[in-house]
Amino acid sequence: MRIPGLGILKGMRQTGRNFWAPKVTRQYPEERPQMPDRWRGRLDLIYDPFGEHKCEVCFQCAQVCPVEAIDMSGFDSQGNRIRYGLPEIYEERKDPNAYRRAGLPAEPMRNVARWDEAIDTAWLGGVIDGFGARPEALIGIFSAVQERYGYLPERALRLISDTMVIHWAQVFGAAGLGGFRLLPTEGHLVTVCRCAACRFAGGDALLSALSDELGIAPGETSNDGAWSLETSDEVAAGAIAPAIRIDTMIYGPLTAVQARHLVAERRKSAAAPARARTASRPS
Amino acid sequence: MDLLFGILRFLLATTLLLLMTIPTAFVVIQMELKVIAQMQLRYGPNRVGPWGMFQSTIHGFKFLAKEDHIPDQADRATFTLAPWMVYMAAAMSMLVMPFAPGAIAADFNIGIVYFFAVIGLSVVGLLIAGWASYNKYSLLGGLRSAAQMVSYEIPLTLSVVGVVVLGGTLNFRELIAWQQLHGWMLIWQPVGLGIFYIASLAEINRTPFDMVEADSELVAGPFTEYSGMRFGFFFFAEYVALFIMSGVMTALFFGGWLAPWPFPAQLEGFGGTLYGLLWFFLKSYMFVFVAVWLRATLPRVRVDQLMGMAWKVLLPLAMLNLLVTAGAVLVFNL
Amino acid sequence: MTSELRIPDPLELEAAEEGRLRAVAGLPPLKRGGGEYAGFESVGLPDRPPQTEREREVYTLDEGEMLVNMGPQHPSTHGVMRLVIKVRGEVVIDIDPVLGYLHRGIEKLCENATYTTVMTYVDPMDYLSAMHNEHAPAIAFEKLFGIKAPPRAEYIRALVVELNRVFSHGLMMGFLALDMGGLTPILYSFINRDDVVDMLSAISGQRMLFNFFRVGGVNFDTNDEFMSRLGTWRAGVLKTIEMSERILTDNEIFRGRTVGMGVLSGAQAIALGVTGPSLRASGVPFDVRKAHPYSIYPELEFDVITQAGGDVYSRYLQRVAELKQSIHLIDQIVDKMPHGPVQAQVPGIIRPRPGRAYAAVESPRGLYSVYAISDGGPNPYRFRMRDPSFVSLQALPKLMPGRLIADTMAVMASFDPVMGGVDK
Repeated sequence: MRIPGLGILKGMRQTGRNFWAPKVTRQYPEERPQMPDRWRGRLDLIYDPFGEHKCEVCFQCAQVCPVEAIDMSGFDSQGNRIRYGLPEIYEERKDPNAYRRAGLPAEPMRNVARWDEAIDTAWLGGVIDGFGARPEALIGIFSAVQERYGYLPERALRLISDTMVIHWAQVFGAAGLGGFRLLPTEGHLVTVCRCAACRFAGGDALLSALSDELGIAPGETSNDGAWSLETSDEVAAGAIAPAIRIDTMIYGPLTAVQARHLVAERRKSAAAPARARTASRPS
Repeated sequence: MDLLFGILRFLLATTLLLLMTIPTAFVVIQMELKVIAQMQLRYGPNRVGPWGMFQSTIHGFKFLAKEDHIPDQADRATFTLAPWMVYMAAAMSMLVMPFAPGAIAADFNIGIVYFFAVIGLSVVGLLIAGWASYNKYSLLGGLRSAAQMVSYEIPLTLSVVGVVVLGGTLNFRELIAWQQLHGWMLIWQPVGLGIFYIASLAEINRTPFDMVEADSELVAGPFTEYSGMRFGFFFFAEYVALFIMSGVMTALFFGGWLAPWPFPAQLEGFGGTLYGLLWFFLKSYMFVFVAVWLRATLPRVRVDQLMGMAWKVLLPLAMLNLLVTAGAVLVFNL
Repeated sequence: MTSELRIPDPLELEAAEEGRLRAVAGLPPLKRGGGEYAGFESVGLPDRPPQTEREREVYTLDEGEMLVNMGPQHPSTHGVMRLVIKVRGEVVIDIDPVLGYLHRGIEKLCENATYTTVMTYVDPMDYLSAMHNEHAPAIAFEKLFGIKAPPRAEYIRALVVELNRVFSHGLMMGFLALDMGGLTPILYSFINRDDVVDMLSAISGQRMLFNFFRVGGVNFDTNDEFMSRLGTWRAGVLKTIEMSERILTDNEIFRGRTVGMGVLSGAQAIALGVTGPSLRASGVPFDVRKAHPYSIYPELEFDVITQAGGDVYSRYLQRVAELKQSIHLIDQIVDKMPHGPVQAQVPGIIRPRPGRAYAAVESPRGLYSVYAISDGGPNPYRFRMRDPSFVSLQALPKLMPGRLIADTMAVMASFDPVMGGVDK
């Protein structure tokens, strides 16, 4: 027996409930969507095998663009700097490659002294020879370098590329694989596990919560240099998913709230070691 | 002297009312944008002004900035007259709206009759809009909307007759005074309230009865050829009419400016006016919210089902309601 | 010797065929004579004499009838389509859909494209079920090349195909409501679609035109990002679907406009060639996944759902039921997925044997099939696609006479056509 009007009320109840429910809108451009790694939609300038931009700065694309979306700058054959686009927009873009091509100093790296840090070439040569200079051993060589320096210095990568006669783009690309750092880390390191088990159990939420808590994105170091956040494919054996590692201690299973609390506690105790030593305890 | 004072007061009241219609329309439109959006799990306009408050104002200015275009073969005089008529129907009916004790623009003894008479003028406006556009789709749309509005006026007024019979007066103010003594009309006339609400939604072309403006059917109905501020008048008139119908519903069935508790139901003097204004607007906007809620939820009723409902369901029900009310008044000497 | 070949008069041929079809479908024969021929110009089409009896019938106006255009620019046709409606007052007498506004010449373009490039061309055909569009050519080409896709690839194919079906049916719920004036279910359907499409972009790299299938398998394997998004989505999908259901299924206004409307009997549906959920809603238990099994569907457990009504409401219920069935199928697939490679070993430049291949899949709109002819070269000689929306649209003029204009939108939305597929 259908009572007339009940269906309408049921619908109204649903919309009424949604009136108070949290909204799903992402406020672009304040919140940008998280594009997956395989996303094919981004526009990238490509490199040739020698590590240089393939772009010749010929301005054809900027001139032909119907909506004038392209700005660029470079040097002509006389060595004069030429620009296409509004100076104000150009200034704001602050693309490091654009700066370098324009001959201006690029945005300084976070640990600027390390960009040109000298490395022990003899030792590195020894490592490469120890592996027989085989291209398959690249990861092993990277692991050795990372163990010694804590990250992969660019000089080391250049040397590897020259010695083993592998294209720089391939070396650089392989160095970007998970597990290798291209920038040195200082201070404490929080590693969030991204193995299949941890991700399925909510590792992504954990990562975003910790990223929120520390105020940095994965792969970055905080401004005072005391905390770094990274991800890794293997932190624990998967039995305690989702897991994180702070320096050398592994914690798990954690919810996002627990992880935030843990990291916050560690930050407090690290920031005020003398006073907090008796009071703090790992949770 | 009294006469002069009376004329001055009347002029002031009408000017205030006319000035009030546009901001009312803005507020109602803003409410519709935000409330429907929130029910659809999104935010609605939130960039223009804090919480997007000025969005509908900007819409108003947008209408002013658009090109004013009259089709070549359209009848210029009636084409221009149509939005004016529809808007005036809405604005004139605000004359008798009981906002607060002492804040009624024109306290007619036949206020209710005046109200429903004037509201019907919008039908004429829509008809001539459809005809003057020289467009067969507009004509079809105009005829359909005229048919809809005319059919629903009858149950609308009949349901109010029940209220009038109980209250014994056609004056809004006295009706509210009656409600203060006897309790709100909704407990006396629940069926009348239901009929009135449905009929009023159909009268002002709100979903689920808005096939006049159904853009998923045959173009935009009688407003197809209108652009710029001419369309703006139709647009604003619809939202002002929504507010007006909600206001009249509160006045007739929900106690108008009375507070929901018996003491103090209303205050005296200027404080009383403010207190009454507060309650009146609170209740009216609550009904506007319900109308917007219905718009967010329901699909449209089809034309033949619409007309069928008016003539086969609402009209007999309204007549029955009137019969029972009149009988009860006679029997119980109310 | 052309004199021996008698090319029959198209009007004659059409008349005979039309008469036969109408008899099978139980419809009255075409009217001859009657009013005055109004022609195509009255509705803004280029003027020319009628080429078929049906055209002459539609464009001839009796007393009191009028030709009205529901034109290519319309908020509610599912793409660009022109519907010429012959009305008497508010009542529809006849409908003539005019198609071709979205024609891109895909079949011809595919004749000049290599077998791998064809995958990019077929995506935007029925853009709301792009994975199905790719699945059929993939199977057909594998038959031509004699390659078999590895089992893991077949499972991944079935997974993305069922995901596509989920959001396509979800969108149909939204479109049906939107065409009738309900503004909210479409937003909820798009919330669901957004999640699924983000997931599919994690596995294939694109959100709408996936270019994911290859001859011999799929392009990429699943990755952690995809699985984590799948887990999150699966936890919340039934709630989102139920939000739309609560607003529509029991709603009196919705039921009043859909129950008993556009009733298509089983025999009529078969005679018209309607397939998919529209056919099953008329009671005919024909599902390509069961009738002509392909991919890994023999290993999955599911029943063929049918409804008894054949009206718009039944088609709506059918799609909702199939949506939930697809979610169940996704669960089974995730459970059973084997390890292994995702692409068969295919040489770089591949030439098929000359021959023909046919492959049919169950798309959310019906039976989507591909007939490919190869002549041994690197491009297909002929690549013919049968789109279900195109055939279902033929049912519209048979169902509408006697109804109101407002019902046209409801009935059309219930067949869920997508103009990209109709026009190719």
